[in-house]
Amino acid sequence: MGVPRPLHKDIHKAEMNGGFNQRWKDELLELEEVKPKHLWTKEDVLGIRDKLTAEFGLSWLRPK
Amino acid sequence: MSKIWALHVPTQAGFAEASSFYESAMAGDKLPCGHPVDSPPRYQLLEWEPGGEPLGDFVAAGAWIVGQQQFLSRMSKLVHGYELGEVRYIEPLRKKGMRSPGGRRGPPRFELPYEGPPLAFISPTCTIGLLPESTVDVESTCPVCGSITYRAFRGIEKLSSRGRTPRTPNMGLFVRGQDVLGSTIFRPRFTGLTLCTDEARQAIESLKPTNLVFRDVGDAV
Repeated sequence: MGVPRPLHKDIHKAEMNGGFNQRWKDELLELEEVKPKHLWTKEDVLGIRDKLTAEFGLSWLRPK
Repeated sequence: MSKIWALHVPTQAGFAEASSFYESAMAGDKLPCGHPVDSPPRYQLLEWEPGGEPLGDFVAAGAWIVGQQQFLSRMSKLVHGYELGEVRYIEPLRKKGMRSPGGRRGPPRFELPYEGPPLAFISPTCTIGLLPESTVDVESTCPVCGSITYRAFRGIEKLSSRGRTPRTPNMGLFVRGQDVLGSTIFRPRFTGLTLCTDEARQAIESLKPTNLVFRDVGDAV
């Protein structure tokens, strides 16, 4: 299921539950410390997405 | 035994921030097995985030430590083990509906050319291996060149927008004290961490930098 566009915009707004985008930055920074960017895989990034959608109570959207 | 620290530039700290981007030219030359030579990136490619003021001594821009050249040069009189890496900026190509090289839509956030104080990133020249007692999860090891791909570092202090997670006692990263003598910055092999000795931390703090903190990540033993 795709995320409805208005909801998608709301999720990425800065004020969303203390910052969905900010949490992405946190996670990407941690990933970059552990693994150089040229070794990042699709699974690394999708793993962060799944972690954060769960953290923000958005798993029901089942983004793909 | 003495502590080793990760240099960390906080986000949302009231200072100018940037996003870092990746392009293949940043990676080192490739080995015959396909793995790039383990080295810091050749340069950092930044795009400014909204709100460019004030500029701290350090600029949050991903894992590599970006700061004002002037401060980093001053720091090099007290701390060794690094050189100044080049910082480049993404051109403001983004007009309405046009994608930037970073792939995002929206208005330009910062007019280029950047005319503020010159920036550089800390490119560690001292690279050392982690001791086996380090609490790390390994994803893979290349049978040809020995490159290690890590999955996670467990037990190190973490700072995020959700707060601080302190280091777990007896966990984290461990290096040989003989490998990191004196006031030095170093990078554990195959990682994007910029670490320093306790002596280096004290020397850097004596310069009273703005927008830089230290995370407790392990010990030199």
